[in-house]
Amino acid sequence: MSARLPQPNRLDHGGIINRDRPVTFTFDRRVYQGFEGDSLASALLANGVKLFGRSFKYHRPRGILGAGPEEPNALVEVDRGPADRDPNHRATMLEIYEGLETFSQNHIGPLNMDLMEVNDLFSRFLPAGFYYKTFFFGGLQAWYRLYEPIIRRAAGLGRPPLAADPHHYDKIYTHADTLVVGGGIAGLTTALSLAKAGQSVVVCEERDRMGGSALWQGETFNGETGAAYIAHMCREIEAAGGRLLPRTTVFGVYDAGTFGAVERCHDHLTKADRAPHTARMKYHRIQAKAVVYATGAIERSVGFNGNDRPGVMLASAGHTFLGKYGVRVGERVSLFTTHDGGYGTAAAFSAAGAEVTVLDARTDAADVSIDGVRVIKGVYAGQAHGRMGVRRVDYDGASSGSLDADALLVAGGWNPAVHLTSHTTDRRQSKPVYDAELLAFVPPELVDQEAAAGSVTGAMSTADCLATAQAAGKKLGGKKIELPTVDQALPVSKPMEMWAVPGAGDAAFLDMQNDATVKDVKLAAQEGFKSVEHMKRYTTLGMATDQGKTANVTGLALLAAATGRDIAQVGTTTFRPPYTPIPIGVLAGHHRQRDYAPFRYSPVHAWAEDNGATFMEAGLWMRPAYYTAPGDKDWLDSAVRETRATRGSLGITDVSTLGKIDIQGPDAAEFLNRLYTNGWKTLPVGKARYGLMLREDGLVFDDGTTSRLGENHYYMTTTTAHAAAVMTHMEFMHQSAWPDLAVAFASVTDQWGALALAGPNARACLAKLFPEVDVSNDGLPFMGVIETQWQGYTARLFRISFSGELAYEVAVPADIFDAFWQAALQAGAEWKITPYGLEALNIMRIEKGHVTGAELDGRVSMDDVGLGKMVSSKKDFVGRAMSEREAFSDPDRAKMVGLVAAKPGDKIIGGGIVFDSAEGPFDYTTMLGYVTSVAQYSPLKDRAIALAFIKNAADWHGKTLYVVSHVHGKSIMEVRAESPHFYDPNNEKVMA
Amino acid sequence: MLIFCPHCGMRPSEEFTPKGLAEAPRPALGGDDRPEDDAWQDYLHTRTNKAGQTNEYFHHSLGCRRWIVVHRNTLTHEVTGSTMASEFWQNQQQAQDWEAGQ
Amino acid sequence: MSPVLKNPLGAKWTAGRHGKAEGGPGVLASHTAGLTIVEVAALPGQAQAMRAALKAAFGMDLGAGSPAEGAENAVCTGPGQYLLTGHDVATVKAAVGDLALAVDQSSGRVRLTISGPAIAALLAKTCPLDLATWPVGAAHASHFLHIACTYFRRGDAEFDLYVGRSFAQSVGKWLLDASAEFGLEIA
Repeated sequence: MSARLPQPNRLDHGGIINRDRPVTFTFDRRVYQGFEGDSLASALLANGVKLFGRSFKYHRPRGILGAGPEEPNALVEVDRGPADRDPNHRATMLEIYEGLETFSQNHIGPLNMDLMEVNDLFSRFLPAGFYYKTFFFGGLQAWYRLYEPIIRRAAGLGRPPLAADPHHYDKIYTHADTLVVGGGIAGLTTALSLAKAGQSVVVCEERDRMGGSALWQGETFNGETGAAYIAHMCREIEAAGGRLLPRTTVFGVYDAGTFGAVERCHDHLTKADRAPHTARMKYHRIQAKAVVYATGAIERSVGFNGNDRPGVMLASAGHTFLGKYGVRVGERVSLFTTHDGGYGTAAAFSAAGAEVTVLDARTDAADVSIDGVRVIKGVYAGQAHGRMGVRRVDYDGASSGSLDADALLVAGGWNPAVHLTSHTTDRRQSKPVYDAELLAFVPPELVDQEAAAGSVTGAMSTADCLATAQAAGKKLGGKKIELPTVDQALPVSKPMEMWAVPGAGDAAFLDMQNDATVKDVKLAAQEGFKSVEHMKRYTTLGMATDQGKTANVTGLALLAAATGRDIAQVGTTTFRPPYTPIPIGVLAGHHRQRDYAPFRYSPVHAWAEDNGATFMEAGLWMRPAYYTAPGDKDWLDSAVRETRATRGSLGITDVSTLGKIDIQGPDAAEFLNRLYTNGWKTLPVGKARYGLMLREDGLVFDDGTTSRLGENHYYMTTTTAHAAAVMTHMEFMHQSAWPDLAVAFASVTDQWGALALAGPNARACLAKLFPEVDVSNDGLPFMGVIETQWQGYTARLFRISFSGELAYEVAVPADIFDAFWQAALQAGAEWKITPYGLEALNIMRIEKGHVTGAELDGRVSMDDVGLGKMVSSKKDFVGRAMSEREAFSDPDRAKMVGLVAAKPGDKIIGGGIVFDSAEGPFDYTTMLGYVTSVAQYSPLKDRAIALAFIKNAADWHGKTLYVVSHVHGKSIMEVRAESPHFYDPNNEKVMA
Repeated sequence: MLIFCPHCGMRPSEEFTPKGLAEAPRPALGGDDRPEDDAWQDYLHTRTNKAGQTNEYFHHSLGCRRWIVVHRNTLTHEVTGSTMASEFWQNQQQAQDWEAGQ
Repeated sequence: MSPVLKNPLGAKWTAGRHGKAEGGPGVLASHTAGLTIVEVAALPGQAQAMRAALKAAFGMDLGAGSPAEGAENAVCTGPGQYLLTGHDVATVKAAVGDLALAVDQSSGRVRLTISGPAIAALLAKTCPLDLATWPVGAAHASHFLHIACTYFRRGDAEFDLYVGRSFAQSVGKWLLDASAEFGLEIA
């Protein structure tokens, strides 16, 4: 932008902005210009803008109160399109850049004519607790239909984005010996002391650059300007290996030296200036051995009527805009102060050409003479006038009168920013402590690894702040450094106690963001909300995006007065992370959408992708659900085709995802004996056995087969779903209960790729793949195991079946599994080998009555699934004692049963409830049980079949029952019960 | 939060999976124990839910995969040490001494 | 003819430059296909004896078994637990006998070697541990963006990552994402 636009309130010198780089931006579609280094607030103030937004409840016009992260009023939206609409930016923290587009919030119609301002006219009807009291009329229906929609329309801060956050965020693990929170002069001084002692130091500063108020307050250090002194201190820290992170807010303190911080990397840059592939923000999870809280202090206002008018501002904010940005917020300035600090600001404004009147609340204030500044002692601001901007200030007290003013600055004292010092619970005393001398809360007693430096300690003058910084450095093992001499020091003093002026009422605001007033606090106290936590919830004081940074202390001081207690007795509410709002995306970091969690892939995943597979998630695994062949109408069509091909000739499926655990050692058999319900000592080498594991509470945990490969060598398989849990369970039992058992085991799930060949031609196909191995019924009988070789690699052949067919599982190393899979397809081509997915497998195992995770849901006993005979009574095993609980032998216990739809085409809905009558009532008093697994079409039965658990299961075989799904419009499905072993109940096929 | 693993040293808590209080050992192998036996009740169900020093099972699942018993103060979250689960019950006396010393 | 080994890192893992194109690559990565990896885990009470047996058979000095006392071909993953490279499972089993479990993990684990000037910045995104405290030769069983991963420090700016094979494609994708801002060169 070459053309320079006028900035009426910008002085022609001063500030640490770059006047060579004008920046053009918009606010509510109007074009403005500021300079590089401006915040949105300073740039708009430079342009004479006073009105920034509307308040939350009364929609009162609001301007700027603060100049930093504490700002409660000036929340704006940055809009880069519907997906990238970012509400609730504090104008005081938002750095402008070329082309930035911003909008005011929380109004209907133009900002200067908000239709909701009607709320303000009725404000005396909207006191604290108004909603709680009023909306009882008309009952719940009236709430939902009438009140809530109106309130929702009226309330809320900003508009949420309408689509997924398009930005990329990173999470960074950052480590340091010491974390310094706050890069003002105190934080930097401590950091330098620690860095010089050889510590690794990270300094996080939430503003755009290091230095804090020393940069512009006008004090000098050893004769240097603040900016020059800060710059050379930063160089020294970096030279000693320290890291300086500007634009980084430490938002939370957690146990054991863990801190959360967010670094804003993009928001101050134009799109073109953002480095490609970099994150918008970085979430630093900082691990530090020690911490220095150098978080500074936040100025507080005083309760008086009209103290929320645009143009009423904290004195420090007015001073910041003047000193840091060269923006003079008014020409006729009234300055209401309770302490000497106001005079520094008054002097600065006077020097900048403003006409200044100081209203000093103290009658006994020392005489200060500043050129051109008029001082009235013993008075307070009683009322500010001017709806869209201050025009006049009435004062009262020792004398009374009225002043013409276009700005009213308030210096009500300082609240140390103690928030972070009370986040953690790992010391006994974590709440801030009230110092009645300073009239402020200061950090609690800190532990050895913590220190505080600067104004957060309650120190007021720069020299005192530097002394606390040196003490903090000393406490944490830093090197002593020479402190600078501070010249042109600003005046400071303790404030006079004045939280609200006499006569402050329902237009005297404490929490500007929530429109909580002096009167609200008094009302809360009067109605019995005497605990500070209750008062907070009743009045909403201290809630929302600013968490009451400018309001809390004043609110609880007034509560103390109203209830006749000391402020120390009232205490503070609990400060919790985050210190300032952070986008949820930055906490998710990389883990969102498809990257939420990792996927696990089989070695033949790529082959399946290329051959029509549709995948389903099984835990982290992606498994083929079905393969779509030409002519398949839908998934069921594919699954039924795959089932028929397998039952009729030959199917192949990928079982690489099954959990596999290699177990070795002299006590391996004993270990298995203790894990499984059945006995393992008699299993010969070269044989597999089906095993059932219980949890210690006697319920079924998992099932699978374990093979004995050698004298002291076993190979266990688990279900895909429970693989990790079984491994963890084995580790727990071995280590916590039987650490002396001479056994070791390792997960080999990823080492082996495995496939199952199933169907009447499975043996012929296997023989072709392993011509040198005897795979006849004698050479490899049911539950037999052979270890052999394929192309020079180990191959393990298992004669086991899940589908109910004659079947084999073959495992080879995963590296060559793709090649082996292709070889199996080639070998099986003559029998039209058909790959099948989980859906076909599901049909086949339901037909066979085999259980999976749907049945083993953590509620069933061995008996319930018909495996009660699989108990060796001669030994102890996990869950044995508890498996004898009486409830397990209750005849009313639901046991597994098979269900068959009454006629072809009828559906059975999974999760449906089973009843013995179609008449109802369909509730828990009449229910017999529930459906666990459904095959929507069983070729065997030519209709839907299901597995279910019902009371007295065996008694119902052959009888008609009804399945009702309450979540599908109570549709009633007629079914017939029978044994769950629909297919080949005598195992003739698997043994053939 | 950091948890000490006897093998790996100080590690962030996300590497661990908690299981619960380690307050009673698994009853010795018997064969005819009954569900109502005190030893089983204590092992499976009885938890003191103490405010203060506790012993808890954690699995170093994203690490060395050892089960450890972590000594943690539930009032302050302070982790004061840990023992391999495989040594914990055998060193019960030692563990009691340790608790007495707190 | 020996069967072709399948690339476990997925189709996006291709040789060449990825991410930032300007300047030299910040991260270099390579994957060793066909590497022989054997996992050993000592039986209770046999860890020291197992280490002695490994020393006798292969000359590996694994000290008292701390994670810092490893070697490039014997990476410690837990107490008495190592990933050995360069010796097949039969040889290793013969060496450790009944002292330890020995299983082939040549297909089960994928080893990625990463190096380059941006390696510390990259690992700060994936690994929760403080690299500055690791001596060269140290191993750390931890996680790579929450995927179980054992890190081994080969040199100042060179690390081996061992991850489960089924996770390798996710690791590959996330490594591509995380290193894009530095520029990644895959060998």
